[in-house]
Formats: sequence, structure tokens, C-alpha cells
Amino acid sequence: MNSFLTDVFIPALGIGALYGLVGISFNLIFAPAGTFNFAQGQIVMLGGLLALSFYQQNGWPVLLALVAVMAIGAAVALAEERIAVWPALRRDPHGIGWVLSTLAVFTIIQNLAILQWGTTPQNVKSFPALSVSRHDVFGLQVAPYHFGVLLIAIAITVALYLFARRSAIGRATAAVAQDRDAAALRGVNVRLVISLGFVMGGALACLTGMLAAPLTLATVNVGLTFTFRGFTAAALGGMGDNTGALTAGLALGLMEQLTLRYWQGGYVNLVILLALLGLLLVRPEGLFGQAVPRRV
Amino acid sequence: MSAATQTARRPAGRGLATVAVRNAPLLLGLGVLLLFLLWTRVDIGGNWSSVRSKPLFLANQLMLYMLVAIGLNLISGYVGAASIGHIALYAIGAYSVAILTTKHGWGFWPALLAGGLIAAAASLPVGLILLRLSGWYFSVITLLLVVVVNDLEIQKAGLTGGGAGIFGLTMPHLFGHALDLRGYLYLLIAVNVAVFLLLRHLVERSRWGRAFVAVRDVEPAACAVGVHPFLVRESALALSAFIAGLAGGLFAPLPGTINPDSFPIIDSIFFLLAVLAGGFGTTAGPVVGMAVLFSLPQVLAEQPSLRRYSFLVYGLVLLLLVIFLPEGIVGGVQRLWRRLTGRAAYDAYEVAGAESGADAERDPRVAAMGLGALATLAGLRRLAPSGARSGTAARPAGASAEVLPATPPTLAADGAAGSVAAAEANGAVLSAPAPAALRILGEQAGTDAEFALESIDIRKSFGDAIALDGVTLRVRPGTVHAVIGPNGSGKTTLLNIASGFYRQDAGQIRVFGRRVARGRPYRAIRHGLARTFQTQQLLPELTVLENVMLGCHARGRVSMLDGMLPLPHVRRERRRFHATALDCLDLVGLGRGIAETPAGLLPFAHQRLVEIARALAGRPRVLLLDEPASGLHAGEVQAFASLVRSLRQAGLTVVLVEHNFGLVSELADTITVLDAGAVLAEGDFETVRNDPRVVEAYLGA
Amino acid sequence: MAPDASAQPGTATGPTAAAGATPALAVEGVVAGYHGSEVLHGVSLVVPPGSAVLLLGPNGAGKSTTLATISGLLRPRAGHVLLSGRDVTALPAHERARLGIAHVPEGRRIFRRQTVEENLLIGADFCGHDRTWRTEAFAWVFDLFPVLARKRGNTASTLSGGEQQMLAVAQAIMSRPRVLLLDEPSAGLAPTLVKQLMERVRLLHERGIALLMVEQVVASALAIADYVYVLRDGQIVAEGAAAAMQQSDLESRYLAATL
Repeated sequence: MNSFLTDVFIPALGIGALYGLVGISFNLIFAPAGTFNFAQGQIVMLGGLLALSFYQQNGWPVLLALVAVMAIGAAVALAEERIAVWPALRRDPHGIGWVLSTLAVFTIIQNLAILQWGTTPQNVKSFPALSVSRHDVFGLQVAPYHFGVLLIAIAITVALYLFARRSAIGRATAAVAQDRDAAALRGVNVRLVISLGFVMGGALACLTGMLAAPLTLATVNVGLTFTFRGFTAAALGGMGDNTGALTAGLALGLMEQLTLRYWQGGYVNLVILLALLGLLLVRPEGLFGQAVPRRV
Repeated sequence: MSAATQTARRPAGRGLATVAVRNAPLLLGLGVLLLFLLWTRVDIGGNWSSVRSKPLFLANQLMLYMLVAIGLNLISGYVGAASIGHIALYAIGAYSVAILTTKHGWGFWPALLAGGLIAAAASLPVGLILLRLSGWYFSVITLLLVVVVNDLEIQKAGLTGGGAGIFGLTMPHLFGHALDLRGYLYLLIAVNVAVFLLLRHLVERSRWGRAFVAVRDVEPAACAVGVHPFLVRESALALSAFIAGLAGGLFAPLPGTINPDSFPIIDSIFFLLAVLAGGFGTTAGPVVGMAVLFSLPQVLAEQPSLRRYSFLVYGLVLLLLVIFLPEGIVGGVQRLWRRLTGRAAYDAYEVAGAESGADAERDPRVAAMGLGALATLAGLRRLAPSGARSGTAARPAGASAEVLPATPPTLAADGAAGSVAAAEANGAVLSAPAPAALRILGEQAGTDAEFALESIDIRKSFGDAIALDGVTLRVRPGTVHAVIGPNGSGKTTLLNIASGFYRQDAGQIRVFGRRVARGRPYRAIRHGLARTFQTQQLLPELTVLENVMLGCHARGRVSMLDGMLPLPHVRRERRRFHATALDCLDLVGLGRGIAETPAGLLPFAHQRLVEIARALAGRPRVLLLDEPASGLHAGEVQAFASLVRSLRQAGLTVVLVEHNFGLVSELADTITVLDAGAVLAEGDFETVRNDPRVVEAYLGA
Repeated sequence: MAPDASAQPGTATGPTAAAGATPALAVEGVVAGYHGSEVLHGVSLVVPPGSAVLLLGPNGAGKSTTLATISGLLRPRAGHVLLSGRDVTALPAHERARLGIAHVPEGRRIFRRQTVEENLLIGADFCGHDRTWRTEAFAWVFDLFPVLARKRGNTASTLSGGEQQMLAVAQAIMSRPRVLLLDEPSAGLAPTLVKQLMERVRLLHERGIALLMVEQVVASALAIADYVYVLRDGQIVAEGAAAAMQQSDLESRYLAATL
């Protein structure tokens, strides 16, 4: 029982929290813009690689590295919105233009990263207080990392909830998500809100990538995995629902750890895809979502 | 210009030149390939014993990728969802062939077929996503499919050889000869041409092609003409996957070894890029796009220093294309071409219409809008021979004077309705409908059901808002029945339930006594129920004729597979649809001269009429019109009114959801007034007009 | 056509609340449409400060399009929109809202997933007034629509149809607009609710907010209107003081044909 707790359940919390954070970063973009960012996993990946450069190799203090990584993530996502998403979205909000243009950004970031960092995975040392090596905590041999990441994820979810309810910009974002024209009629600058969604989504994605780096290693190969898990968390939780995404992310983490323990690592994606397909067919709105996403 | 010469305008004979022009895109693609081969100094005419040379290998691969792109275009271009998973389907085809030939002793050709089928089968569960979710979900799931297939290739080492892959595939034999790379290239060119022609035939000639486009662009209209959107999407996906699997199977023997690295995800994006570059939804796009883009990295590859940037370049090209040329090379050229030829066709129609309708009274603005149906109608009437009508319509032709309802006194005295009165005089000019055209409605009589359409105690609520609270409506056959009411009274909801678009909470819909299943819009036409929509639901790029032919869908018998082949019954059906569509154009008064004009170029009022023609092409027994007069000018409203009268004369039952009370008062035999989801009053115009409750509901007095 | 000076476009001089005063809203020769088609073929109208103007017309005449052009959801192809004399034609919708145009589109487009209070806050958030205004506005709105005060914590989707319509209007006036554009506020409401809503709308008018209203329920709307324009086929075909435009007149002229 103890080994289940320490080897399966607690790691699942930390890893699941990471997936939940990526899912939330998808939501931050999806809610105002109505688009799914196919390049999001690549921005997560960028966070890990930048952490490698700033924190591991250049020895920046962790907070400085964090701020720099998040700023770059925000800038990349903002550039993506301005150059790739908005022109396609303005031409045809229901077309596949933005699917293709975010795929283009996916390709561009991926290959730029390969040119810059190469394809060899590299180790990133643990952040202070988030050690990935096991310590004795309350009599259990576990890594503090998993608890730390979970706490960070919960804090971010709560902060975003308060932001959406208590701040004008947050309310405006929720308004744009529901009815763009009606929001504009109340003085909301829709374009700005969409840009802000990308800025926040990019920053959070990069933050998650940096958080994940000590666990996953810094490598160009993690991008697609994070897109996979993050989307699954967001879709299972109900697109746009942050609490749902975090909960679903934790469930995914557990699913992954269970598959690793009782079956084989190579089948994790298969298990998750089947679970996702099954749930979407029964409940297209996700586990916690309200409105059924309409066919467009 | 008579109807006879119009139908004779489509001769069957086609010269070689016409065939060449029609298939120019494919020839262009192959031409580019030829240039590419010459440029890379491949000795095409040389001896057949050439070994595995790189340019030949690449040429073969280009042919295979073209094949994938042609298939991908079906789902991404025509069904409106982008698949990022085609490299996985390609891999499934390749692995199937490799496993079946090396481990199970199958011959290459049966293994190839199996590969295609397995890929098609694998795509079907993913397609289920399209049932209830929007296209981008499908895109993500296909992306995830690539990851999972790649995992399985590595994981199921017993089957796939794991990371090392499968070795020792040999080139297949054809007619007793082992093919070498050059022979294989010829084979692949042949396969490409065959698949291209088959799909082109499917998409452009049969009812399924129009169904594809309709499901992509105007799903409600597709449902209304009897197309099951989900089945169309799944079929297109399966076909597309089959082609990808086939291409993968054909690829397997080329390198002799396949492993997970043979199928990188970037290739999936490359397929999309190629289709985009060529033009989504264009038949030639994938061929042209792939030819152009495949050559590009070869240019880069000549410079070793640039090679490492080639994938980056793909990404940049993709981005630039989405932003600056979203319709692709072929799409751009086509649009220009249609604009030129379409304009010309429309101008010719304008001239013809002006001549034939010269004596019709015309409001100058109506004329500016493109004559209005009025002039055309008037012109057509004079041309129509007074021959006997086929079919057994309930009322005699030429009886329009009697069926004109007495003008309500409030209207006659009223200044604002002056144009209405003036146009009404016109109504007398527009006498009988074209008898020849009316034959398409020839099946109306001979039913013993008491009611054409019944809605029995229909209830519907959206969340906690009650839209319909037990509405019962009975429409007698051969009448025009209007449903009116203030905004939000539930008129359109009722119409959407009757036609199956909404699923009622309780109550029944019956058409001529037969119960209609809830929430199955694609079934309605099979019960004889056709409808139009408030918003424009035409396919602007297709010609008027093709738009109307879409309406014939439910009467078609040609299967999707047959549709790909030039079979006699396919041709017969097309000819039949063609004739029906022309009749429908006559019937609504647009005439045949307009048939080849792209529908998007027509003025608004004419588009409305084309939609009605499309609804009629399904040979309905009940026609539901959703606010047909909104946005029409007074003269156009009158032309429309006379059309409805003609249809009623022919025995068709018409249900009219309308705001225009003047029009309703003129046309309707019975009027039902809805208010707040319930029937407020019912009866003829006078009864309803004088009902105090109606006055209150409208005037709030 | 029976001659009637008050009802001929061009012959009437438009509503003149205070001679020489700049109109709160002026629309000059607006041509607008969607995609290929042209819906408005040169519409001009004037709303003086503190007046209530009614825009009538059959369905498809372009009433909603006119409002969308004024609020900036739709860019006109020609013509101008002037707010208190300032040309706002080039401004996007959100900037016009901040300058004092509050458009309540048809169909109760409130933010259904948010609470009543959040909906009201969104109305005030971006329109540049200080916090004292916000407090004042809440009092004002809750005074007008007491039911909203009772349900301020409820999610908007749980409100009844009439309450949602009230919320939509309340949300718009939270911005302290100079001109309120109401598109069929009575649509789909029970007659008693319409009466209630109209009373509230009349109170707004009395508060000095200029109103431009599209309505189907002519009688109650006519009762609070100062001036009436009749729109048909994208053109103003008649106008006149509301007092001169009797209901019976409108009924025969306009309703009988197009009810």
C-alpha cells in the first residue's frame, strides 16, 4: 500500500498537475479566441529548454530565470496570435485556417529549437524546495517536487478563478468567450482580450515547461507529449473550465502511473486516447463542461 | 431561345482536347514531375535495370505523396476538417504490407488491398468525433493518432520489429516481371492517374460530390435535401484513409526496410501544406501543390548548408500561405477564372432576360438588381406552349384569376401598399406556370390522407424557456397555410421541428398520415417534406444548376463507389437530375439561361428562388418556406407570390412562415397565429384579422 | 398615396427638441450591408438629446442593421454616424460604447454563465466612469429593476426571459450612455412584462438618456416616443412627430401590410 502511495499516487499528483497546467494554458487561449493552439506543446518545450539555458547553464537565480522564461513564452504566444492566428481568424472564424497556421508555428518553433538546442535530452537540476529526489516526508519516501507542483497548480487555478470573477479584464475575458459582439457593445476591446489570452497562455505554458524540466529533462521531444496530455486534460475537463482541466489532469497523471505500473509505458498514450475518445463520444462537453461545443 | 435548344445544348461527344482541358491539373502535375526528373538528370528512357538511385526513389516517393494528398483533400478539402493523421494511416498501410508479406507469406497485391482496408477501418473511430464535435477536435485527435500509432510501432515489437523495423521487403511482381524503381514509377503514375480520375468523377459528376461540398459549407441545406452529414463525413474519411493506406502499402517495398522513423509527423503537416498550397477542395490542388512543394526541398538539398533549414522553411511557407494565399495556387486561378467566365454567363443571361421580359412593368431598382424574377417570369409565360400537362394536378391551368384572393379592403385603401396593388395587376399577367416544368410536381394528387402535414401537441423548451407549449396544426393538402406571429412566438421552432432539425420534447409530426422520426432532418425529404431557410444556404461557387441538382440527392440511387466510375446508370441519373433541375429553374421563373452562372453572383432575390428550386427538385409534397419574402423588394415579393400560387395550382401543399402580413393575406388559405408558443387563432384572413386576441398580441392594445 | 405632410420624408424637418442644439445622435446617408448585399441605401435620422425616437418598419427593412451601423458592429460603406456632433464612423464598436452609445441587440444577449452582478459590472467596467458612478449606477439600476437586486448573485441563465431582457437593458445603462439603442426589447415577452419593461424604458427617457428604439409593439412604444421614423427596404419612407402619427394611421399605413 505504501509503495502504491509513493510510487504511483504521489508522482501522479505532480505529473498530473503539470498536465492540468498545460490544459489550463490551452483554456486561457481557447476561451477568448475560440482556437486551439497546436503550437502550445512547443511553447511548453521552449520553457524547459530556456530553463536549461538560463538556470542550468548560465546559473541565473531561479526567480530571474522564471520571469525571463515566462516573458519569452508570453512574447512567443503574442507573436503567434498577431502573425498567425488573428489574420486567419478574421478571415474565417470557422475555417481551418487557424488550425493550419498554428501547425505552421508548431513546425517553426520545433525546428528552431532543434537548431538551437539539438536533439539530445539534457538534465536540469531541481529548483529549490522542489527536489525531484526522494526524501523522508511524514515517514514516506517521496519527492517534494510532486507536492510543490500540485500546490503551484492549485494556486494558479485559484488565482485565475479570482481573476475571472473579481477583475474587470477577467470578467471581460469571460464575456468575450460567450459573445464577442455583445462584449464589444459593452466597451470591451475584443482584440486586446484575445491577445491577453495568448500572453497568459504562453506565459503559463513556458512556466509549466520550466517546472517540468527537472522531471522530463530538457528536450525538444516533449512538445507533442504535452500537447497530447494538455489537450486531453482540457477536453476532459470541459474546454474553458480551469478547475475541470486541473482535475482531469490529475486523473490523467494517475492513469499514466497506473499504466506504467501495471502494463507498459508504451501504452500510456493509447490508454489516454481511448479514454478521451470514449468520453468525448458520450459527453462531448467534457466531464465538467456545461455547454455542448457546437459543430461549426 | 426555347427549352428544346436549351436541353440540346449539352452534347455528349467530347474530343480529346476537351478531356485534356478537363484534366489539365493532373497533366500539369505530371508535367512538373517530368521536369523535375529531367532536372535531376534521371535517365527516363534508359535501360530498365537501374539500381536504387536517389532521384528515382524521390520521384517514386513524390508519386506516393501525391496520392496521399489527393486522398487527404477529400476529407480536409471537401468535408472541412483538417486531418493531421494521414502519416499514421500511411504507416498503417506500409506496416500491413510489410507484416503480411514477410511474416504471413501473402502476395504483395492482396496485402496492399488489406493495407488500404485496415487504414480505412482505423480511421472510422476517429471519425466518430465529427458526429458531435467541431472540426478542430478531429484535427487534434488525428494528431494524437500519429503519436499512438508511432508508440505501437515501437511497442508491439513482435509484430512490427520495434525500433529496428521490418527488413527484407522485395519489389513486387507485375505480369510476371519483378518491378525495378523505374517500372514502379510508371506503375505509381498509373495508380495516381486512376485514383485522380475516379475521385474527380465522384466529386464532380455524381450526387456525392455535391453532397460533400454541401456538408462542408451549408450543412443544414445538405440535411434538408436528404444528405446524412455524418455518413458523408465518415465515407469521405474512410475513402481518404484507404488511399493513404494504399500509398503506404505501395511505399513499403521501395526502401525495402520500414521502421518508425520512416513516418515522421512532419510529413503529415507536409501533406496538409501541399494540399493548402494547391488549394483545398480543388481537384487539382493536391497534385499541383505536392509537385511544387516536393521540388522545393530538393532545391534546398542541393546546398548542404541549407538542408538543415528545410523543415523550418516548410513551416514558414505554410504560415505565409495561410495568411496570404489561403485558397492556394489552383484555388486562386479558379476564382479568377470563374469570376471572368461567370460574369460573362451572367451578362448573357441579363441580356436574354431583358429581351424576353421587355414588356413587363419594371421598377427601375428591381431592374438594377438584375431584373427580378418578375421580368423573367413574364417572358417565360409567353414562351410556354399551352400544351397539356403531364401528371394529374388538382387544378386546371390558367385558373389563376379565380384563385387570386380578394384584395383585403385595408390593403386597397392603403398608400404604402400601392406598389403591392400595382404589382398585383401584374399577377394577372403572370398566368399559368410553365406546363412542361410543372411535370416535376406531377405526383401530388391521389392521396387519401386528410392532412398533408400535422403537428400534434408539439412541446419544446430550450433550457427553462418554453418555446412551444402544445402546438397542434393541421394543414390540408393542396392549400397554402401560413404561420404567423410576433418574434419569439415559436414559428421557426415549429418549422425546425417539423423538418426534423429540432427534436421535440413531446408530440408528433405526421406527413400524409406517416409519422416522421424526431430530430432526423435528412429523413424529412423522404417523407415528401422540403424546406427553405431564412439565411442563405446556397453554394456560391457552384453553378445555379448544380445547386438545384443538389436538391435531387434524395431521389438518387447511385452509391458512392459507383459514383466514381463512368457507369451507364450513373450517367443516366445525372441526366435525369439535370433535366429535373432545369425544370425546377423554369418552374420558379428563373429560366434555363441562368443555369451555368455561379450561384454567388446572383442578386439576393434570385438566390432565394434558386433555393426554392432546390427544394422543389426533391419533388416534395409539402414545401415549408421560412420567411421567404424577407429582404425582397415589393416587385420581387409579387413574383414570389405568383410562384406560390402556381405551386398551389399544381397541387403542392405550401406552409409559409412569414412576417409579411400583406403577402400572407394574399396567399394563405388558412392562417395560424402563434403567440408565446401556443396557437392564438386560426382561420382565413378575415377571421384572423378581426380576432381581438390577434390585434392585442400585435398591437399590444 | 394619401398626401400627409407629416409623413413624407424630406418635407419633415426632423425632431427638434431644442432648436439649434447638437443632436445626441445623427445618422447621415448611411449605406451598409452584409457580404455582397446592400441593406441600407442611404439612411439618415436624428436623435435630439433627451428624446425618444422610434424606428418602425417591416421585417427585413434594415432596422437592426441601422442600429448595428450606429453602434459599430457593422461598418457603413458610405455615410456618417455622429455622436453629439463628433464623427465616430471610423471608430470600432468598443470605442463608441465608451463614448456613450449603448446598444442592446435583439435576443437578450447577456452573459449567461456569469452572475447578474458580474453582468452589470461588465456594463460599467470599460466605460471610463469613476467608482462613485458605479455605486450610483447600481442604485439607479436596482431602483429601476428591483428584481435584479434580489437576484444579483444568481447566474444569469437562471433568470426568466423577462428578467434577462431587463438585465440586458440594465447592463447597457450601467455605462451611463448618452444614447441607448434598444432593438425590440419586447420581443418574445408576455404582454404584462412588455408593459412593465416599457414603463422602465419611459423612466430612462425621463432621466435624460436619448433613446432610439426599434419596436414591434407599436402602441406602447408610441406612447413614450417623441418622434417616429418608418424604414422600408433600407430607406426612410416616412417620419413625423409621434403625436401626429396616430396608431390608426400607422396601422393602415404600415401595419396592415406588414404586421
